[in-house]
Amino acid sequence: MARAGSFSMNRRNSAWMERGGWPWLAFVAVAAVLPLVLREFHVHLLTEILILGLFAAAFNLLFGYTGLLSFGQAAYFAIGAYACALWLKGPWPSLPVGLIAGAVLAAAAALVVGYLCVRRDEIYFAMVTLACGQLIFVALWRWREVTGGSDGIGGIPRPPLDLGAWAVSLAPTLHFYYFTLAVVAGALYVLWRITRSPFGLALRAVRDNHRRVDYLGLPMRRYRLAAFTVSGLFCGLAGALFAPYQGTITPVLADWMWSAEPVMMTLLGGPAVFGGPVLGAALITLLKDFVASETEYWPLLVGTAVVLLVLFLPGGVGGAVRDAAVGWRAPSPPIKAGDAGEEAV
Amino acid sequence: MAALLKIEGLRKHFGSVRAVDGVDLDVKEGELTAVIGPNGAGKTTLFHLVTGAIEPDAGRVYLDGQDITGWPPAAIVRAGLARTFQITSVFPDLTALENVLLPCLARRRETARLWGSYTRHPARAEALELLSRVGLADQAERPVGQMSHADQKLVEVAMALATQPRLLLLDEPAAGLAPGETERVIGTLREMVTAGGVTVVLIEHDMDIVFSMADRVVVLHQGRVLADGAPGDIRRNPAVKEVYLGGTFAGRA
Repeated sequence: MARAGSFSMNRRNSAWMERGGWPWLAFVAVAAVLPLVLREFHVHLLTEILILGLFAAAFNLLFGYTGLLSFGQAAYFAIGAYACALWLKGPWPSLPVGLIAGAVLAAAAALVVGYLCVRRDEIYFAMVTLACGQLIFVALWRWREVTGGSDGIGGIPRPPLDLGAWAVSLAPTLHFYYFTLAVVAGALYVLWRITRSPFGLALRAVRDNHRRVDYLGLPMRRYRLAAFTVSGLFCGLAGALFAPYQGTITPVLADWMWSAEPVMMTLLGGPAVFGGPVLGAALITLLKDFVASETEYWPLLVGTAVVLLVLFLPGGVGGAVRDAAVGWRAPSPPIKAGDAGEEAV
Repeated sequence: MAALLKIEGLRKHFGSVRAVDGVDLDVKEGELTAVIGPNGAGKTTLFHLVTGAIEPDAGRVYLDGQDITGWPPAAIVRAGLARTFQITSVFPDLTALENVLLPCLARRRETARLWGSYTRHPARAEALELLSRVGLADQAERPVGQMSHADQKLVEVAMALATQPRLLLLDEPAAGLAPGETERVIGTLREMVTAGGVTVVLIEHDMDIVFSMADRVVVLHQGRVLADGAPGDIRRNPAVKEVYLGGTFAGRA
């Protein structure tokens, strides 16, 4: 497609920094340097934050950008995890192939489920996604020969990364962290570009007024289905990373409790900011870790924090950070939507 | 000349309510037709049937000779028939520019593209041009939800025109506007219609607007066409005076 790149190439570099490029640089720089000053356990935790951050950002393509609350995204995360785990335990273990297999299979499942779901709005949409997610949960649980039933799959290896000339071992925590960072940063960048593409504009229009888009020549359901499939793809990719990260996976990954995780993370971090869900994933994972070491009642504290934030900071932490940054960069004039607004990282 | 829009025996009943009860109508290219009638006459239902929002019980709709009955709304828009809504329907959180850019991109079949920034797409210039034609270029970057009701109505007209329709259906373009705003909206509409050469069918309650703009007036009553003709003829039609226009109108005629 010669046409595809024509306009996106123009002035890309000059405009890149002012259009939200600097939060990207900051994110990658911090994520790259942080493990050098942390203990191994915390690097492990940081890996989990990246994976869950991708999961939450993929969920938010539906929630924040398309206006669809899905309570079944764990199903695609789990399909990605199982597909990758089975590939890694197979005769030709390769992590890149496992990731692609996980993401593609999850997207295929999302395409089928999405076809049933996108006809419904609001709470009915949420209920159908929840029901379909539970179906997949039960399938993973009962299909013992393949999935190992309630025991799940254990001993998932981390095969070395074959880079042609030499092979990099992914067994050390630090190596696997940098591999995860590369995959997650790449995936988040693709997601971010999608939100700013013509397709992304169509999704935001569906979110704003879904009954209107058909009358501008856009078949609304097709756009919802495409968003559902893309979201499933990235949920699957996150799940595929999670399998070798954990080493063991069980059907719990497909359960609706796991679907609630990206919902909480996104609400906490802010659905209107692209980086909000990633920030939320970091906050919830850290909160869980630190509070859980003090008390067994940690869900109570995490729940209270989410309730307070939703009540008093409806834009989430990410929204507050963005407002502060916009205010700092342009103190007097009112916020102009479209420049640093909606989708800044 | 063949009719641009041809409606044959169109019927839609909701239970015992005969909302549209056998309507035949031809609209010629370049004509500005006003559809009037008392509340519940079936005007908006007629628009819904023509634009694919609801399916008719019976009858056919042809756009430029092509049978579009039962087509999904998006396909009808692509075939060249756009509309606006009685209750202004825009994308409140998107900017005016984004609201108009979306149909520009949709018409070029660019909205399925997942790569490339929409803010730097060549269609942006076209969207800005449409906004300046409705006098809103200076508000291009403002979220539409923060704009005045009149400005939102104009954004909606620009959105409809961005689909480059051959036929434009306007459902009460002056509804809910203050008198000063009505003149601005209708004045802009009139300019765009004469400049763009688009064929228009409009529903309107304001008789001053109807008789100052329309080449032809169609009166609906209880789901049927009661009268159809030039504005002057409609004014003098005794049946119309009786069911709809009443004293206020008779005095001006």
